[in-house]
Amino acid sequence: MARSLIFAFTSNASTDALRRRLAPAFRLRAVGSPTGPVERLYIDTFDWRLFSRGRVLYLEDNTLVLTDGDGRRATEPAPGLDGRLPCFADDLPAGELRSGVASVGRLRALLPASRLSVRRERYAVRDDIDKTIGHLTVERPTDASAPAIARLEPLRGFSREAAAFARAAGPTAQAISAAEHRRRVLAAGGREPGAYTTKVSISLSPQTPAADAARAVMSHFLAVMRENETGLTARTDTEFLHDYRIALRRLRSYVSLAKGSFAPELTRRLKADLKRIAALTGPARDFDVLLLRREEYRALLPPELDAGLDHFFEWVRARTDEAYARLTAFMATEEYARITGEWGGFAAAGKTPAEALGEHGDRPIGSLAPAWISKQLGRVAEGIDAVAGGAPDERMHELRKDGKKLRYLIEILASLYPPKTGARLVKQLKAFQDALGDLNDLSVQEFTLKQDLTEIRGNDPRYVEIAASIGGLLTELRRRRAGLYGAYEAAAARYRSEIGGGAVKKVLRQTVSQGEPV
Amino acid sequence: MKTLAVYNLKGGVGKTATAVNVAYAAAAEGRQTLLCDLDAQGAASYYFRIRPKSVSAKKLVKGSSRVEEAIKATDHENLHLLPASLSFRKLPVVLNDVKHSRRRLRDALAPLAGEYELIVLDTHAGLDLESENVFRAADMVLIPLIPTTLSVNTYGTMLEFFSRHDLDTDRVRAFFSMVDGRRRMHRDTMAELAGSDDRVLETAVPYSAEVEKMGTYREPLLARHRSSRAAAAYLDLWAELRTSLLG
Repeated sequence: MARSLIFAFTSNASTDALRRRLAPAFRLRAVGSPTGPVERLYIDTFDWRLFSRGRVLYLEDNTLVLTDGDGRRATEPAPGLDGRLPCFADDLPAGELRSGVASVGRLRALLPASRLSVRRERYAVRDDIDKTIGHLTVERPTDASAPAIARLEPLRGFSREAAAFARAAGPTAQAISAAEHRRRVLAAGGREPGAYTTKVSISLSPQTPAADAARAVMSHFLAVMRENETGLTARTDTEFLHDYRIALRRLRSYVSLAKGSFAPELTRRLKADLKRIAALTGPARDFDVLLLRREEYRALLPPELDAGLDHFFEWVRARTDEAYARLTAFMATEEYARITGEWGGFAAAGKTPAEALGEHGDRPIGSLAPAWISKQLGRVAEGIDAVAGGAPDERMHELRKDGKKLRYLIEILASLYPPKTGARLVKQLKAFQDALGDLNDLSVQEFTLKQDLTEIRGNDPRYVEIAASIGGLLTELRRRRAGLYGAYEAAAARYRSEIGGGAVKKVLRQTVSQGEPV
Repeated sequence: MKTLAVYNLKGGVGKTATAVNVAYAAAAEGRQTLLCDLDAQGAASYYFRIRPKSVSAKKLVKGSSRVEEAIKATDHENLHLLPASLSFRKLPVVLNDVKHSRRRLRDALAPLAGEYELIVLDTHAGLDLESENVFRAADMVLIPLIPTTLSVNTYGTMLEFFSRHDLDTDRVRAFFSMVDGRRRMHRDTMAELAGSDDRVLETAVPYSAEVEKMGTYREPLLARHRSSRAAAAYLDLWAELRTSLLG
C-alpha cells in the first residue's frame, strides 16, 4: 500500500488555486459536498508518549482514532470521552485501540493536547486519462490563521503518480512529513510535542566555572519540577509527583556532591529548602507506589486473604490522600513560593554573585568533575565491600542511594565528555544498580509493610485480618529476596572489575577539549 | 483463493468482456478480486484506464519480479488489476526456456493467496505453452462460445487438448456468448450442445452494443449499465460460477 502524502497549503491558498496548479496532469473531482465544521480533540500523555512513538490519538464525532506512522489505524466509539478526560488507557473500551494506547504505558493519564475545528472537502484525484490515482481530503481550520492541510491517499500501484502530484502541487501546497504534521497539530495546544523529557541533557563546557555550572543544573531541574506542579497538585496521575521527586532528588544529589561550588551558608540554605520540599513529597510517593502494587500483591496471596488486603489498601488510600493534601497545601504557601522564586531567580541570573561563590566556584568544572565522580565511584565500591556476605538492610539502602547519586552525577556532567563515555559508564553502572535495586526494593517493601502494620495496630478493628494478609505478603517477599542474592553478587563483582578500577579514572580525566560542549 | 481463467482458442468471442464483468461482479460482493490481463493487447487494462506496465515476461516467469509490485487498484472497490505488458507476447518463448515451464504462472500467483479471494485471468487467444500454464494455474477454465458450428468444433479441440495433457476436463465450464436469439443457428447450436454436455452453463449472454461500447466509456458494463440485459446476464453468469468455484 502506498503511503499517504500530507500537504500544507501555503498562505491560505484555496483549493481552486491547487486545482489550477495541478492541471492538466491531474484533476480534482469533488466527492460529495464539503462537511463540517468538525471538532477534533488530540490526546496524549503529559510526556508525549504517543507522539514520541509516531502515533496520534484523537477524538472526533464521538469516535476515538489511533494512527501510527505506518498508516495503521484503529477506531473505537467513545461517546462522551471529552468530558471524562483525563483518563487512562484502561478506561478506554477494550480492543485494538486500547492495546495500542496501553502499550506506551498505563500509568500516564491521557490529556487533551490540542483542539481543532475543520471543514472537510473530499476529492478523487484523476490523471490525464481520467483514472483515479488517489483520494484527497482537504481540511480547512475554522481558525483562518491555521494553514489548511490536505492528505492524499494513493490507490495501490499509483505511488509514482502520487509523487508527480506532489511535484505538481508545488508552492501552492507543500508536502510535509507525517511527523511534522503530527508535531503541528499537537503544538497548536501551546506545548511543543516531545519537548518535555525526564532525560538529563544539560550542556556544559569544561571551562564553565563550577558555580555557573551548578546554577545551570539548578535551572534545569527546577524547571522540571515547576512543569510538573499542576499535574501533581491535581493528582492527574502518579508520574507527575514521580518526575517532580526525581528532578528534586537529582538536584539535591548534585548540590551535595559538587562541593565548593557555592558559599557554605548559601549551600546550607539551599539544601535546607530542598530538603523541606523533599520531606513532604516522600510519604505521598511511597503511598502511591504501594497503591500501584495492589494487584501484584493480590496475585501473591490466596483468595482467603483478599479481604484483609482490601482493608489494608483502604487504609493506604486514606494515607495517600492525607499525604497529598499536606504536600499540595505546602505548595500553596508563601514559603514554597519563596523557595522556588528565590532559587529560580538565582539560577537564572546572568552571573553568579561574588558572595555566592564557594572555594571552587571559579574553577572550571572540567577540572573538578573527575575528582567528584572518582570519589563517588570509590564510595560505591566501599559500600559493596561493606555489604558483602550480608549486611543490614539500611546499609544496602545507603549503597543504593550512593549508586543513584553516582549515576545522576555522570548523567549531569555527561556533556563534559565525548558522547559515548557517559552513556557507557551509565550502562555499566545500570547492570549493578538493577540487581541491587531489585534486592533493595523488596527490602523496602518489607520494611514499609511492617511499618504500616505497626501504625494500623490498635487503630483499626480489622487489624487481625489485615495482619494475616500482610504476613502472607512478607513471607512471599522474603522468599523472593533470598532468590536474588546470587544475581546481586555477580553484578557487584562486575562492578568492581569494570568500573571500580583505575582505567575508568583515566577516562574521566579526558574531558572534551576547551570550550567544546558536546 | 480460487483462480478462474477465461479462455478460448479463438479471438473475438467476448473473453475480455466476460473477465472484466465477472471480476467486477465478484468484487461488488465484497470479495477481494484480482483481474490479470495476460493479453498483450491490454484490452482489460484499457477498460479500467490503466496503462500497460512494463513488466518483463522473463523476470515474471523466473520469479525475480514480484507480481505484487505490478498490481494496481481500479476505481472500483475490492477490484485490482495486474496490467498487461507488451512483453507478455514473449511469454510462450520465455516459458519454453525454463524448467517446470507448465506451472510457472501458478507459482507466480501463489504469493497472492493471502490477499485475494478470486483471481480472474483474461487470456490471449491461442493454444501454446502459455495457455497450458493458464490451464494448470486455474481452478476453473471458463470458455465463452459464440453458438456457431465452428465455435463448437473449436470447443471440442480444446477439450481434446485437455485430455491429451492430463488436464481435468471437469474444471472446464462453457457458456454461450454474444447470443442473437433471433438466429435459428444460435438457438439450435445452443440446444444441441447444452443437451449433451453438462459443462455448459445455463446462462447465455446476449449480444449487446453496450458491451462493445465498454471501449468508449472505459468501465465495466455492470458499472455503467447495470440494468441492461447483458449486464443482468453477467450477474447470472457469476452467480452460476460462484457456487461451483467458491462453494
